[in-house]
Amino acid sequence: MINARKRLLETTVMFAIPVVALWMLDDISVDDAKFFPKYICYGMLILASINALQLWLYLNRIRPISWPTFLRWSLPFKGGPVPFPVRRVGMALGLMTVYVFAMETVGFYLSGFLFFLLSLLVLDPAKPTPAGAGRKAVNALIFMAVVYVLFSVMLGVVIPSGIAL
Amino acid sequence: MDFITYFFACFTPLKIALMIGGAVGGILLGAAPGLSPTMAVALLVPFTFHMDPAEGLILLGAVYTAAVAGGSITAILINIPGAPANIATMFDGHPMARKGKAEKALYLSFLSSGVGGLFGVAVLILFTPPIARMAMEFGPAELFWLAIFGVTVIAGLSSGTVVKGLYAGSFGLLLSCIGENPVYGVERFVFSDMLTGGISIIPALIGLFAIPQIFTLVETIGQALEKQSFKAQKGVLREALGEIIRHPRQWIMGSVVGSFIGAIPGAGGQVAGLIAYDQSKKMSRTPELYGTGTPEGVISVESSNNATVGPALIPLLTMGIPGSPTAAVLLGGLLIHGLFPGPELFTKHADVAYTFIASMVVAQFAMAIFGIMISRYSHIVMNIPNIFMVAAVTILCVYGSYSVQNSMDDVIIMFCLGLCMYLSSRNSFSPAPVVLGLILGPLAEDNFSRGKIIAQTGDGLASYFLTGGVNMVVIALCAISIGWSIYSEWKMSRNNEARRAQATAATAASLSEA
Repeated sequence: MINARKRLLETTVMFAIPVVALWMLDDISVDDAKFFPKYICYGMLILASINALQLWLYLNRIRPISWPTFLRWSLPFKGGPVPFPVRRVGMALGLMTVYVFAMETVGFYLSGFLFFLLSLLVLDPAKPTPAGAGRKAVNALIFMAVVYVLFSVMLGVVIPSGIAL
Repeated sequence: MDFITYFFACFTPLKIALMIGGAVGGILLGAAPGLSPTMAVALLVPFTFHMDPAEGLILLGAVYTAAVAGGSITAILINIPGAPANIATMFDGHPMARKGKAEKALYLSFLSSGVGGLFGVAVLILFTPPIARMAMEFGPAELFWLAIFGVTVIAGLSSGTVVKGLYAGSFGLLLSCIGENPVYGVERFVFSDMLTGGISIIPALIGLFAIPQIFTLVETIGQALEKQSFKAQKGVLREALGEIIRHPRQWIMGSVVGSFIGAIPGAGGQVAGLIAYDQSKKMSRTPELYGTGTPEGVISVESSNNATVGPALIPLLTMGIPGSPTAAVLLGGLLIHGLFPGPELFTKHADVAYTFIASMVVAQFAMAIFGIMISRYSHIVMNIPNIFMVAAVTILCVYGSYSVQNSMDDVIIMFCLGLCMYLSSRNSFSPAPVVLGLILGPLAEDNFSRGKIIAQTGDGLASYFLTGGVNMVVIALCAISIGWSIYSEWKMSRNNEARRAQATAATAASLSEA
């Protein structure tokens, strides 16, 4: 199945990046400073045009052009025959975002321990049990202890301490 | 002669222990996703301050050598390069692991690394003066074209998608322009304060390679997909040795390419690996097997990336110009001991300089032997469930990005780039060209700007950049590289169409029979 909407979106983004970059370069007063990036942007526009041409030829060869058909989301965008695990990926993304932004405040080791434990609890498809949760907490503790000994104690690397370790 | 005099000075119990410790530690640090050789060496530099200069440099040199080779473990087993130099190792190393030949791929990697590393150190010892002179004779125009050649190589590496490969490379070049321009002092594309200093390579590398892999692991939690496990078998080492003996062209070409690229300031193991892979594919009798798990690919890449280690030290030790980011960190290791690179290093501090160089020879053997021993047990690491890998790799990525400059901005940049790459990778964009563009961007722009200034005082831009023997050769290589990639893509698409037609005909025949 032709994944037309996905390819159209991709081509649009391929054009948008150099266009936005060229627009941002307009603010720079020194011409020499924008010389190199400007020519990269021109190159990217040429490549985006070739990609658009390839897309048009590809679609034209598979079936006659019929725009409403092209503007349909198709299955491959959602991960093909296996359903895309939206919920799991969304939860992982959420956990990572919270971890990255909370690390400085909470501290590297505490936030790392909580992230490790929560990841194991939230992302594991197996049914949670108290014993399993305990094992996961021990695993998270051991991992963070190894990281602490190796990097903070042995190598003396500075990490954000936050409110805790 | 000085080298022979000081060679035996590195055989004291402490120095041997440092070499072995450095080799084992370097392999483990290189194997950890997100912990690059640059970071491994950088972490150790402050600790060598309390050591004897020669001992400190021996430790740093052993870690540097082993971390480059150790990066191949994760590249082969979980498709994440442990170091930038191992980007191209993934192309055939991981497919080999997927075919159940992980142990062989790992042995090939360490044996090739040892061979390439020894070749590189031999170059360092024997050809220091001529190679350094040749590399230093490259002017801005030659270095600019060399960087562009590096970017055109990506077209061949993004098999089947030349346009997307080139676009991703250009995007990487554009990313390298973010921040303050060093020549004109003007800020470009700085839409947030965290971008003022530009995008650092290590956080970008971690984000572009590791984050998409983490999300892929999240997608496949509960399914055994990327994690490759194996049990050590008898006779595999002999088999790997046989492959090395059967493919001398690959490791000779890899070692020569690695040594040449390594001696050029600014280019490093990552560029050498990619170029060696590309050239190896082009000179192979079976190029169609590249990317599917051929030992030739692993041999050429691993011999080339470790061959860069020795020559990368030539401009560093003789002129104070680091040949790679890790060599730049090593420069810090020299300076904290009050040792200034240059001809005086080989006269006033000959004991330190030659003991260090001699230890690099021994470190290659330590790396190959301990690499093979450690890789036998790497399946233990691979038996860890995906869910543990997700959590652990994320923490190491965050830690690795932060510790480069102790900056939270780097962590956020790493995370954002990784997320963008994850979405792009679902549309057949590969992270390797982006990384290559990002690495070569400053080299290309800096030399272009310098060349432009020189050209304005001479015969003009076209005359300066488009004439001269080396320029013409590199421009021709650029054209050949793109032309060959387009031809390969066309050939591949024609073969695919023929295969599809055959499959359709076979299906139609079976349906009519039914």
